[in-house]
Amino acid sequence: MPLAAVRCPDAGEFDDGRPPAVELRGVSVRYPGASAGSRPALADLSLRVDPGETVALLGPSGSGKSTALKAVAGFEQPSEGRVLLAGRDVTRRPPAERGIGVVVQQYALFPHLRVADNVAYGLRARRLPRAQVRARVGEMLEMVGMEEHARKLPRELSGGQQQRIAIARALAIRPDVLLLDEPLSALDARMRQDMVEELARLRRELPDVAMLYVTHDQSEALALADRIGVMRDGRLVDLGTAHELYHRPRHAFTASFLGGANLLDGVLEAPGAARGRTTHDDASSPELTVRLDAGGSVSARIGDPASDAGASGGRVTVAVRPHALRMLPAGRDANEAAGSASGLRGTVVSVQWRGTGHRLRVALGGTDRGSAGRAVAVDLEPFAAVPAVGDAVVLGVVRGEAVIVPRDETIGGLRVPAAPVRPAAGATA
Amino acid sequence: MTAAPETPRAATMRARARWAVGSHGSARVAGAERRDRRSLRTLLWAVPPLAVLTAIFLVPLAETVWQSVSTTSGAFAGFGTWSQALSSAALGRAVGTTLWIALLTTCGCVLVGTFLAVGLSFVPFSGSRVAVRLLEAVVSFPSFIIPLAFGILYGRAGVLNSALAGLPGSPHVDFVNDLPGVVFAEIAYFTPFVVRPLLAVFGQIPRELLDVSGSLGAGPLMTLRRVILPDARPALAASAGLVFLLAMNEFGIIMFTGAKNVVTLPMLVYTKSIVTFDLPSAAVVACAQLALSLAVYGLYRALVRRLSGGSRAAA
Ligand SMILES: Nc1ncnc2c1ncn2[C@@H]1O[C@H](COP(=O)(O)OP(=O)(O)O)[C@@H](O)[C@H]1O
Ligand SMILES: [Mg+2]
Repeated sequence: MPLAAVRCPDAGEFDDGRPPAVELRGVSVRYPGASAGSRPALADLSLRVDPGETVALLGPSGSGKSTALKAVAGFEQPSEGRVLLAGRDVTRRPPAERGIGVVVQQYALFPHLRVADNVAYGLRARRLPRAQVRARVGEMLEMVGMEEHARKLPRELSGGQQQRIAIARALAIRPDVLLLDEPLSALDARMRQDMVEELARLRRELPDVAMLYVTHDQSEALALADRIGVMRDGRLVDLGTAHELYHRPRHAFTASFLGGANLLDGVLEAPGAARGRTTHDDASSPELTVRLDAGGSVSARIGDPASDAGASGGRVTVAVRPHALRMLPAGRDANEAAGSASGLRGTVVSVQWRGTGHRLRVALGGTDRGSAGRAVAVDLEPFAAVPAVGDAVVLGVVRGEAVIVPRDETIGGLRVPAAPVRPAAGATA
Repeated sequence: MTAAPETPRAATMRARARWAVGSHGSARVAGAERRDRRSLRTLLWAVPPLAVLTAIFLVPLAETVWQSVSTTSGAFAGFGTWSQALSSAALGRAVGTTLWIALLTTCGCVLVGTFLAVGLSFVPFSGSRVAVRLLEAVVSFPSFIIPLAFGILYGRAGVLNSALAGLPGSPHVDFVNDLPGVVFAEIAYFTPFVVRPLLAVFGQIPRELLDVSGSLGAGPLMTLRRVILPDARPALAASAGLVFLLAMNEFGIIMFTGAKNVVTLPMLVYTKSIVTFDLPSAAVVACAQLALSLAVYGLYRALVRRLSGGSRAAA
C-alpha cells in the first residue's frame, strides 16, 4: 500500500535558518512483549513540526498516536529511526534531557503535591531560585486562570481544572515543544468546546512553541492544527492542512475519518470528458464519471492528482460527505441529470433527528432493505421535507463535493460511518 | 504464618464503605427490622469462633495471669511476685533491650526493604521476578535458619573468619553472637515483610507519573522522594509497625544466635520458666510482655488509621 503519504512536503530543512522543532525520521516503536510477527505499534513515522507550528495526529483509538508522542517525549525507545529536536539527535537521550512539555492523557498530576507544587515541579528540578519559582508559578497559574486554586490538591479539582494545571506544569519550564495527548478526551462535550477555544488562545500567546496534538476528535484537530496527520494501524496515512485533507483526501480512510464521508465503490468511465467545470480550490483536477456498484453514476474529481486513479483497472471509491448528498424532489426523472449524480436511487432505512437537522440512512440500489450496514448517510438541509422510513428516494450530489480516492478494501467497515459523526466543522471553511 | 497486615488501601476502602453505609439514613431505618433478625443469626455465627478463641487464647492467658498471683499449691498468694518482679532491674533492662532491638530492626528493615523494593520495581533487570520469589520464600523459612547461616558464614569459626585468618595480622569479625548479630539476623528475616507491601504499592503507581516527572527534568532521586515515597508512606508505616511487633516478640533468632548477654523479654521468660523454674515470675514477665505488645499494637493501629485516614481526608 502506498501509505505514509506526505502531501505537501514539509518546508525545507533550513528554509528560514531554523531546523524543525521536532523531526521524526522513520521512527518505529515495538512494545516489549508484542509478538515478533505482529505489526509495530508505530511504523516508520516521518514527520516534522516547525517552531510555532501545531500538528495534530488524528486517528482512531489504537492507531499509534500516543506511541508517536511517547517516542518524541522519550518515554518509549524507537526500535528504528531517529528523533531530532531542533536539529539535535535525542533518540537515545532520556526524557529529562529533552526539555519538552508533555501533557499526558490522564493528566498525571502528582497526587501528593499541591497545585502550586505541581506547577513548580519542573522548575525545582532545574534548581531555579526560590523567588523565581514563585514568580513563574504565579504567572503560569494566572495564564490558565487557576490562581485561587494554588493550595489545593489535584483530587480537589474538576477534570477541566486538572487539565489546566497539567498544561501550566508543562509550560512552566518554557519548553520549545509541547506535546498534548488527547487533552480533552476526559471532559464533557461542553467543557471540551470551551477548552478548545482556550487552547486556541494559548496557541496565540505562545507563537514560538511547536505543538504536537494527539486526538481522535476531528473537530479539535480542525480547530487547532496548522496541519493534520491521519494515523491508522500505526502508520501515518495522510498529512496536510485541514483544508487539503478535507477537500482533497488522498485516502478513503482520511475521507471517512475526517468528516465521515460515505464511501461508494465504483468503476471509472473513460477518463477525459473533463467538463470544464472546476472547483474553486483546485483547477487542475478534472471531473470524471464513476459508475457506482450500487447503481447510477457520479461525476467526481480526483482527490490527489498525484495518485493514479486508474491503476486498479479503474476500480475506485467515491467519497461523499453526508451533507453533500441531496434528496431530489420525488417523481423527478433521474435522467434529468441531478447535479452531478444520476440514477442514485435508494430506500430510506432510518431517519434520525439530530437537533441541527435530520440524518437519513438510505440503502442504495433501492430494493435492498436489509442491508442497512451498506446504507449511505444523508444529512438533510435544515428545512427540507423529511421522508418516512421505506420511502424510495433519488439522491443527488452537490457539485464538486464528490472525491475519487483509491479503493481500499481494508476499510469496508468504515464505508458508512457506524457512529454518528458530528456535523463537520470545517465544511464551509 | 503471621496474618498479613491489613493494607492501608484496604483499610481506607473499608472506612469508605462504612461511611457510605452510615450516610444512607433512610436505608438504615427501612432495613432495621430485617437487620434485627439478621443480628441474631450473626450472634449465633459468632459463637463457635469465640469458643475456639477462648479455648486456645483466653484460657492460657488467664492461666498465665493466675500463675503469677498463686502459690504452687494453687492458692492466691497476693501481688508479691508482681511487685518483686516488676521492680527488678533485670526486667527493666530486658524491656529496654527488647525495645532497642525492635527499633534497630525496624529501622534496618525499612531502609533495606525500601531500597530492595525500589530496585525490584523500577530498575529493570531480568532476574527481578526470581528475586521477588526468593524474598517471599524467606518468609516461609523458620527464623532460626538466618542466625544459623550467619554463624556459619561470619561466626567465630565461620567461613569468613577462617579465610581472614590466613591474612597477615589475622583480623577477624565477631559480631554474630552479640546484639549486632541479633539485629542483622532479624533485619534479614523481617525485611520481606516490608518489601512485599511496598512492591504492591509501587506496582500501582501509574507509569505516566514517572514519565512526566522525568520529562519535567527530575532525576531518579527527586522522582523517588517526591513521587514514589509519598505514595508508599502508609504501607511503609504499616509494615514498620508489624516488623516492630514481630521483632519485639522474636525468640528463635536470639536463641540461635547464642548471644548470652542479649536478654529480651521472651528470653527472660524462657530463662525464668525453663531454666530456673520460677514460674510465677516468668508469668509476670510474660504479662509485662503482653501489655507491651498490646500497647505497641494500639499505637500501630492508631498510626495506620491516621495515615490512611489522613490520605483519605485529603482525598
Ligand atoms: N505499553 C504498551 N504495551 C504494549 N502494547 C501497547 C502499549 N501501549 C500501546 N500498545 C499498543 O500499541 C498500539 C498503539 O497504541 P497507542 O499508541 O496507545 O494508540 P492510540 O494512542 O492511537 O490510541 C495499540 O495496538 C496498543 O494496544
Ligand atoms: Mg492514546
